[in-house]
Amino acid sequence: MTQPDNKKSDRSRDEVLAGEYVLGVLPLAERLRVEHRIRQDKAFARIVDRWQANLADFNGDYAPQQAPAPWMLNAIENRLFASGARPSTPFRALWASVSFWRGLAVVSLAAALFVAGTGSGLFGPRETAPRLLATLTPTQSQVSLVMAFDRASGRLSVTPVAAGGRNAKSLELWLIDGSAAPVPLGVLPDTGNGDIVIPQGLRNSLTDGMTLAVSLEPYGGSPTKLPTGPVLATARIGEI
Amino acid sequence: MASGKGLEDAETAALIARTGLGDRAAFKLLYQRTSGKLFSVCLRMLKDRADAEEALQDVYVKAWRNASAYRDDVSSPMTWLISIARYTAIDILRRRKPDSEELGEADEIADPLPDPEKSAINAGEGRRIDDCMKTLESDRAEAVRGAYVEGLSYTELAERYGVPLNTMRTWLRRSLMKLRECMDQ
Repeated sequence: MTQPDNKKSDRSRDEVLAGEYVLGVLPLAERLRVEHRIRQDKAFARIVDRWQANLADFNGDYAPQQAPAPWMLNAIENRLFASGARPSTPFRALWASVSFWRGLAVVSLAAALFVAGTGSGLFGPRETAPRLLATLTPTQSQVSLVMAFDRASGRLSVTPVAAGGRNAKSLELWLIDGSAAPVPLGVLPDTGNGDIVIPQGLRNSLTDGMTLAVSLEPYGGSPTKLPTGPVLATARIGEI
Repeated sequence: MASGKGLEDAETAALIARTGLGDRAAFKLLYQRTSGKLFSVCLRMLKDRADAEEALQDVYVKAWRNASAYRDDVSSPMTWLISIARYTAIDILRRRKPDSEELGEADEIADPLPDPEKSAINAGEGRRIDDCMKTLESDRAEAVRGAYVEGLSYTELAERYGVPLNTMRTWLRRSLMKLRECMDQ
């Protein structure tokens, strides 16, 4: 009543947009815009949460009909744990210890991708497995480096991670074949000691001439199957 | 009174919290406890078993990755999980059938919403959605529910009700305004 009218109609617009988002009626491009706003705008995120709670009574309409296939849990665990994925909490602690990397403007960085070919028969025995090298050249400085040194093996691994700050982000790796839609290869580990294990079905796709790209995504990776954030670096693959 | 449900919710919330700390055993239990329901969400929306199985995997991958962000004071554990499942399925539906036309700016909402009662701002307070749905004309209430439960797009709703796309959008937006007003009381 004491609010000016335009503020009230802003509120109406936000309420309706949040309601449309929760109902799910928006076209994809608009959905993605709303999701971006949810991440940026806490007040708007609360409006979405409230609609979600309000409309949750409709969830009673989803009566369990058939059970998912028994192999499903295994498939999920393979997807998650074969690549060393972790929920976000351990990252925070690690981040504190490497905070000196933050703000480091990376002019260029090289990352070696080791394709784990063990036992897959795709690449033969490990010693002779070809290694693929890509040089990633970030175009912006939203990237930091985490280095991990294993004294026993003498191995120093360099892992780029998205600059943290208040809204932690992840870097996601994509494989692009010409003009086809990018295929997600995985989220770059933020622990400084992990290689990405390329999913079994994609190992044959990493070949000479394909393009790798790294995009900045919400923590844990793109919420969709396509890059949603800026593409920080691209590189073509060459065999070494 | 709803202690059975309350207990069940508390247990599910605890499993999500443990999952957020990287506890794989808790994640497995969470899957066993909730996958039947989430699979039915995916099936109902996608109407294809293979697509629903693919979606279900994505849902649990997201649940694992986002578990530490779950807040039980904001939503019940099942509401949180079902939202992940619904949004995953909706993304697949929208990609499957991209809208040929972008929605134009819908009609300006004529009536600004009054300030909500303070007591109704917290989720779970205020009036129940089922009571408020009764304030809508029956076909509009049906459209709201169909959009939510089946993931119908504006284009599909417009076809189903035989009205132009923008009319459909105006209907639905007005319905949302009415619902908001009713639930804020």
